[in-house]
Amino acid sequence: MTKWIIGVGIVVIAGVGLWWSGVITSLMPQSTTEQADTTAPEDTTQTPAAVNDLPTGASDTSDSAISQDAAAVDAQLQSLGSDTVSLDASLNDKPVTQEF
Amino acid sequence: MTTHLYTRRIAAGALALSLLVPTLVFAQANNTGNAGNTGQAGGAAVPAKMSDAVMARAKEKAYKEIDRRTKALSDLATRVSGMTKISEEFKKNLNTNVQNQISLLAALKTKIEADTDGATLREDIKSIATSYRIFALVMPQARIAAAADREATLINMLIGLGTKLQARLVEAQASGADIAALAASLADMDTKLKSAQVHAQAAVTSTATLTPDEGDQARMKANTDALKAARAEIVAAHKDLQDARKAADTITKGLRALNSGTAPATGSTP
Repeated sequence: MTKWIIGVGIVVIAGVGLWWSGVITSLMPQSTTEQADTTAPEDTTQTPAAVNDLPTGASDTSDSAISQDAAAVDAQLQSLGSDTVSLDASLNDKPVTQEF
Repeated sequence: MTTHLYTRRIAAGALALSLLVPTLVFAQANNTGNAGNTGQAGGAAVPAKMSDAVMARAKEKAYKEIDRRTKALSDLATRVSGMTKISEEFKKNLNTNVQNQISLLAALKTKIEADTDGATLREDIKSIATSYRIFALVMPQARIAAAADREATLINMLIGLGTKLQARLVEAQASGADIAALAASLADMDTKLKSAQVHAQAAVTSTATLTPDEGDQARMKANTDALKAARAEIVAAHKDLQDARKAADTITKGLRALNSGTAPATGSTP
């Protein structure tokens, strides 16, 4: 009986020692830890902000801002006209005839 | 050098606009073969010995074509650097290919300058014609991508402008104004922007997988048809964007009229 008590005591002490040293923890499945890692707190979840291509702030609805935005759109529309001209030129391209 | 030029591969740019965030795929195409309208006068065998005057004339025409293409490619590179709605990877790949073509043309020009016999000169000039098959596809393909990129920017801008106008209409309505006509213009603006998106997307999609014809007449015709169809899509998107801009103008003027107490103008939306 005494031998049994001593044996159980040794096992318990050894177990506590291993736990203390971190060996058991490192061998345990990590599911609990992983679950915690993959559950992001709400305040760290970021929705990608929409790109504002306008010259004024996205929430600026003043007459002045709308006027500036409209002017920027007109400038881009004009540039799109140039893009179309360049596209037409590339479609109608003719090489210089070579001698041979 | 000539073999090097022939065996180089150029990536044909392929992009897909995906709701203002284009995804790009790069297709590789062999830079081989020779056919079609390449600007090469054909036919008779050229003797290795030819007069200095004939060689000088041949070289002059070769330089003219090389310089012309180099300038077009340089202009294209500048335009590509200004694109904002395509991925950085696509821009990088396109720039690399354009710069490769410019370097090859520069090397070819140097070689032609050093050519002293007719046979070698003829082979070098032949490579100008061969490489034209690449140039004739890559230029319009990239120009279509550039136009679609700008259209994507414009769609984004007009969506932003439309959102601001919508906020102003809500304010006007809350203060008791009749905004029915202006709300219809806003809905029309939205419809035009969606249509523009579809056309810009179609322009890119229909040209994304084209590869140089390599002398295949059927493929050359298919490429030409696809490029022309894409051009029509670009023009249709352009028209939609102009219409959306007019609708925005109608709303702006209407809001101004509401503020000044006069009746808003109606019916000017296309």
